[in-house]
Amino acid sequence: MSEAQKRTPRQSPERRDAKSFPLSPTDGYVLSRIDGTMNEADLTASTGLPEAQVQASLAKLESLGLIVFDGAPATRVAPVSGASAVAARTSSVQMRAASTLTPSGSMKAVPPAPPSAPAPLTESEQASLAEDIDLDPELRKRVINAYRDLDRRDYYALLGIGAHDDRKAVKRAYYELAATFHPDRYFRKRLGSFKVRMEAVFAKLTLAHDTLSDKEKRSEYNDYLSERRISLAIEEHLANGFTQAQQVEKSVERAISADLGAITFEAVPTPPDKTLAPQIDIAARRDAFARRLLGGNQSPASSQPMRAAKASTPGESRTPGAPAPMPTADAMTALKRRYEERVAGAKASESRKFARQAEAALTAGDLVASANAFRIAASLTPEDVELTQKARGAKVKADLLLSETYTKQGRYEETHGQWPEAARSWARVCKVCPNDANAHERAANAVVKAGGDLHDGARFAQRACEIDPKNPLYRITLATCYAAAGLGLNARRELDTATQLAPHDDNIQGMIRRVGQPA
Amino acid sequence: MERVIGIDLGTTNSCVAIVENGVPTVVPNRGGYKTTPSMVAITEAGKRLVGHIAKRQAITNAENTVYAAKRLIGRKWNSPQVKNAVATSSYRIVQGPHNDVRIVLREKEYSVSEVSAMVLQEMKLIAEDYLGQPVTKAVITVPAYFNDNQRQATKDAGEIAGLDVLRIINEPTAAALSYGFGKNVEKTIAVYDFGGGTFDISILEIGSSGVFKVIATAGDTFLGGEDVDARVIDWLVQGFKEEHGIDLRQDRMALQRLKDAAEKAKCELSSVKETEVNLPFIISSGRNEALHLQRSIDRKTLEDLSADLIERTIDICRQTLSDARLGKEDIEEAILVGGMTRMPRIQQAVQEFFEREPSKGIHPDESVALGASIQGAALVDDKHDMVLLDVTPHALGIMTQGGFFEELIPQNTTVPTHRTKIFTTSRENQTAVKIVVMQGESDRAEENELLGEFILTGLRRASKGSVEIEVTFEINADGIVSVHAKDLETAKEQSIEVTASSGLTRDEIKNMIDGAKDYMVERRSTEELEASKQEAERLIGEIERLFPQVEQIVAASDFGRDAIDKARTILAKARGAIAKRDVPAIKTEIEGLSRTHRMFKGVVAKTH
Repeated sequence: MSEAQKRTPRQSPERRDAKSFPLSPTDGYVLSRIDGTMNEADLTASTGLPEAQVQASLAKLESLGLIVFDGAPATRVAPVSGASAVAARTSSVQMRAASTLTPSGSMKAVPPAPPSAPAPLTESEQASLAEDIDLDPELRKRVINAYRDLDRRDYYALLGIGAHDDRKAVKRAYYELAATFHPDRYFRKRLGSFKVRMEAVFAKLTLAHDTLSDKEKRSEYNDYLSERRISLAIEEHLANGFTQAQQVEKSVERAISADLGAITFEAVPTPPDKTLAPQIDIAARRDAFARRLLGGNQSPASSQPMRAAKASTPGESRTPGAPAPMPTADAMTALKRRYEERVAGAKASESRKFARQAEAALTAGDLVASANAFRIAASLTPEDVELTQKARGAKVKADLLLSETYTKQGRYEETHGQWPEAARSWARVCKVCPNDANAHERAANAVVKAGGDLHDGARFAQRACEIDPKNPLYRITLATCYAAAGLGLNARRELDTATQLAPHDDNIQGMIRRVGQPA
Repeated sequence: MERVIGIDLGTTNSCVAIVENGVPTVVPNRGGYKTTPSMVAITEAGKRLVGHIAKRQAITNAENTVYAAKRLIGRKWNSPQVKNAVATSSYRIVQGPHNDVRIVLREKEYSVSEVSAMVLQEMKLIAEDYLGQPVTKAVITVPAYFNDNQRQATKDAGEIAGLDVLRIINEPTAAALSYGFGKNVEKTIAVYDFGGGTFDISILEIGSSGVFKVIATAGDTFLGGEDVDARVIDWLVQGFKEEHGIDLRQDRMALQRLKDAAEKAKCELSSVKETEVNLPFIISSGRNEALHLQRSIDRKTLEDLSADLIERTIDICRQTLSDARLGKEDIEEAILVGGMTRMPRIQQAVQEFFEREPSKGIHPDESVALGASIQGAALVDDKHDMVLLDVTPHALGIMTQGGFFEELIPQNTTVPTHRTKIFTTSRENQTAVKIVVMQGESDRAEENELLGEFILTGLRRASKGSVEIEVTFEINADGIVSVHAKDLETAKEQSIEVTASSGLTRDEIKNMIDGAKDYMVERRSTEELEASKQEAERLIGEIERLFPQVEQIVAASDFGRDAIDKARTILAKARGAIAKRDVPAIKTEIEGLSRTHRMFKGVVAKTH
């Protein structure tokens, strides 16, 4: 923890509107204190909040991209926390982008090559290395690598700059790269298959430059990237929720059995001392995890019931001086029952605690944390119907949040012609909102535009038609999928249906004509 | 290595330069002048004269002396600019077979490219004399605002002159190259280029690594010193008419003398406050008596005569700056190019607009040719670390059904660039698709410049809509447009026939719009649809969110139930309009939705 506390957070220079994020008042308070000079310990001192609470807020702010950390990379305390894993990932993205810069700030031509060792060349790429053309092998490799990464890397990474570099840096980086990849550098040279690659690289670099050097476009693009980051964070967090629930359950069971085991082991001469050490570890982890989820709404002593139980055990069972009785069958049964009761009690107590956290998170507007805490609470006491329902409700809300961010991404990608990405985003929306007809239609449309798997496309469109059978547009999109897949009859059938649905709508009829009449 | 010459093919004067030992240098002509008049004449004996020698005999051979051919290059016969030139030129301009423009000299018709080629050939000879070796490679400049037809015709002229035209570059960009060459600066500059026939403004960034990037460019290809001269001529003609009742325009020789005198007076007024126009024996009175034109003109008069022209250039500057998304404060240097920028009033106007004194660092007549030679050297010599990133001055698009212009490549896009679009057949067994490619900024196709009709022929016979052709529109670094097509199913390159790149009149275009709807590609109103759809969906979402609350609050009253029913109807209608993708209907529904939303919000707010 002490190492982590040396880290100094600062507010993200992309001044995002914090109001649009699911922050609790505590998070907002912590955010308002961050001035780029105070480290975590300073923040704890200056806010007067419990350290755990500050930590939790910082992790959340980081995962939302509102703050970044200077200094040492995160050696995070709570490996179970989804938020921190995401935080680590987002900062590593930034670091990767920055790492392609030469440290002095004096820039050399930086190829947009992947930071890690490039993947081995494919056969056709190998072949193009051997082409008889006027480019040296080094440049050929650069071009191949740059071309291969075009769709995978964001504009910052393409230009090899950091997320916070200013317009000047964008331009410099672009100029450096343009000087390498502009077709005029190799005027009337034989470029073979590299001509197309270089032109594509140059065009994408220009797009990256035009986007990042324009205030408005850059902020739109940043919003898009941050939506992407947020949805990643939420997804990971939700995915980890399941593991967390299992871990909490297990740790409760282990804690109890360790306690009971301690009694038994006094009699049975095989004291597995080691069980205790990892036990503490798990408890600590769980504490940290609980604090994080809680957003600091409870003190670090949140596992009080557990500790109390543990502390009381020796007094109860160990009668000083009395020899330990040999375990009989009765005693074993009793022990088992006691164990089960204790487990149930502890679980119920933990469940209540998580339910309280969940409610608190809900009030604070942290839907994701609330959903996770509810999930843990519900899985600890599966018999509690009300809690299960609440957990389901919270999950729905968190999912809606997720679908919102993906919808925003999908729209941006659509308007910028990034169809493969749009197809992915809409597919995510569909997963979360299986009854959103529009999202399914968008997904199908994007799949077709991206030249993706038409079976997927048709599936999305079919679902859209199932949800809203009366919408002729969905029929047309489905027909488009069928037609693209060569299923002429199916396409015909859908178009006929669309015609029946809107026989007099010129627009619809026009679209039907466009999809055509496949034989 | 073979030398590349840079040629500034101007409206009134041309200039040629080369890079010698790393230094760009203007090559003087045989008379020792650094610029050569862009004039061509054919003598009675059939001899061709170019340059100063042509200019000298212009008055006695006015009908067979061509000046300002650049104003006609790549233009269509029925364009207003050509009509204007026909009315004011001393040489004969006639209609060519492709609705193009031909110039008649000694009973022979020449295309404008041929005439320009004669000037280019002269510039080539000047360079060869100087270098003592043959020259074949050249970079030629054109006004930034030239469209594809004008660029193509200029390139043709180069080829007719026996030149391998490595590149066509824009004049203001060339001037910026000569300004930034050898200086290690990072600057945003504006080039104000007011020449003999055209006006251009370009905003550029000179970056590290020898990169010159044009941010935005615009101009007017029929606004130049010639127009200022015309104002002076008008003024002189008018005065003479008032005095003697004779219209000097009726006499071609008098007109040529007036032209020379007007240009001379204009130039003199840049350095003196007042000058005299003295043209003795300008015309016969008809009573066997010669009349003289003698009149003094002062600077103020010239400024008044040209005030609106100058204002126009400033308006274009304003627009370009805003297209570049820059403010005046972002411009770190304003550079003046072109003979007209010697006029004090123009320098003052530029200074007032950019709020800084214009740079005096480059020569207004020579910097364009110097820049062209720099670009030429950079293209052929690997050692030159210079890359020019220019933009397309006009949007490129196609005509769609209903006579609309669908933009494919926006104005100020960095070239080279390309866009692909998929076309499909709209009739059974259709074997050809016609694509009408245009350049311009108007939504209405007829207001834009027609570049050509491309007919995709030999399509597979199939049912309508099942043949898909991917068409790629490309603008190369010369700013010249090309089109390729590929059948998506067979991946076969589709043959394209270019028909009459300058062969259509506005009327013909109009007829095409009305008649051949089959050919046209349907215009998609998706953008508008998306915007209105999103707005409507947002309102629907808001209303739905408030619905249960409002229902609870108002359900007690008949009035309330009525309102709820109405809201439901509006929601249903709006959804219907969205489903039909009916933009006007959605827009109407948005009004209803907004009202409902306001009402709902009001109800909820009152209750809390």
